[in-house]
Amino acid sequence: MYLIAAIVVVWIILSVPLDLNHCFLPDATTFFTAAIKEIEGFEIFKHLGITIGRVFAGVIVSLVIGIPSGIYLSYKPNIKKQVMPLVELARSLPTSMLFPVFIFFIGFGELSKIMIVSYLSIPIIVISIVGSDMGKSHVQARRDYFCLHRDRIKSSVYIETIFWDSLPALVSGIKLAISLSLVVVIVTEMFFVSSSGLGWKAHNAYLELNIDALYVYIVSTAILGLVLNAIFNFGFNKFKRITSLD
Amino acid sequence: MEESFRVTLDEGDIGNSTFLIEHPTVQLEKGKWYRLIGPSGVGKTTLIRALLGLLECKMKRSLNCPRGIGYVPQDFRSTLFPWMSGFDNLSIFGGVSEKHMLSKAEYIGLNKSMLQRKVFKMSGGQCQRISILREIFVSPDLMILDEPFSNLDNETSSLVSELMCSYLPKETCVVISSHQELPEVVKQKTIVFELKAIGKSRSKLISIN
Repeated sequence: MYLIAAIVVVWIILSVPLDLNHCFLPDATTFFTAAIKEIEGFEIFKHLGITIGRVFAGVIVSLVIGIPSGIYLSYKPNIKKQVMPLVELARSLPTSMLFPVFIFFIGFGELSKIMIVSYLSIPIIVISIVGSDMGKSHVQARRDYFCLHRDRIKSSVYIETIFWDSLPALVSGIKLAISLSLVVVIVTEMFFVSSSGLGWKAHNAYLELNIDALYVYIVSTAILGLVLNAIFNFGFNKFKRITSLD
Repeated sequence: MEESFRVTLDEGDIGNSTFLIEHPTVQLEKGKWYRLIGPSGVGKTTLIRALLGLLECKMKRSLNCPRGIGYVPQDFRSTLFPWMSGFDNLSIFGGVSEKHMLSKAEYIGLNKSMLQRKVFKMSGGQCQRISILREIFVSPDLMILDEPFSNLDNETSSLVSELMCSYLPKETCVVISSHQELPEVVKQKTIVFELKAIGKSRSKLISIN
């Protein structure tokens, strides 16, 4: 955070005397004037809320589908063997290439945007869980133990073990999914039929050659990324406290 | 008709290693205690895993334990469920009351507040005692312990050994793999086998007693 603050301070100090072309580096005075203008009309908050809503909806759908699917695939190795190539195939296909397909099948509404985010995030969550037993020596000892006591240990314990073992990779996976979801939401708002959201506002500012407003929306999106990360960390810390993992 | 206890092991290959046996077949007997010794890396754990059927091998073996097997591996922490408390780990197989569990746990130095803690917050010694105690409660036909006292001091090792001697059914066959000195109570009753390296990827199991 200190580094970000230092960069902002250097920019404020240098941008006014350097007086560079606004396209390359807007000076602090015009930037803050444009920012105040956007904030005054509360317009920016409305679009910020819409973008956050799309990211959250997409990520929640991904978690609801991805976590049980990942655990089930880990629990059933034979099914995992058949399904994982399909997950890898879906993951390798660029989501942006599928925008027209989603619009064709689901339409222009909110659902298609949420589905696009979910399509991107579900494989990340599934792979985080399924791939988390690779290269861990302790997993072998645990498998041996389950093998010897397979008739005595309840399947719920086995499922909890899969979840526990995948937790560190799952946390990283969810963070990655949130960041990539924000990217995809902004891209859909910018380039696919949309009339709201930070991406749409940024694209409009670009078309109107309102460079200062464009930078205001770029900075707002960056701040939103940080805030989403902070919300996730807060939620995860709460989860750790509730489950006594702390 | 109740199936009878039978554990035998023939010499043969496990992966790229060959395990020879002094007499071509080793038969473990009901109620006997065995100790497996040998230098590090000679293949004690591999032999145990092969005996338990946890490794694919060309070795002929027979393992029939109707009342189950108790197994405390070297990496005992991995067999505990870290998000559960000590009590929950001990009661994973059911059939033992909390009072009974606590009385046995207290005997080996684990009190109630320790057992209420999550396992991932416990020390290595506490985890090792819980993993041994849990297998003892199974009252198995065959109990295999791989380096069971590696995290315990001499006094605690003796207490754990005494508990094993008194709690395990008389018919339980116990195999302990350890390069540490064993507590006297166990030492007296064990039949010792030594696994010796006799060349590259070749080991021989010989009886010492």
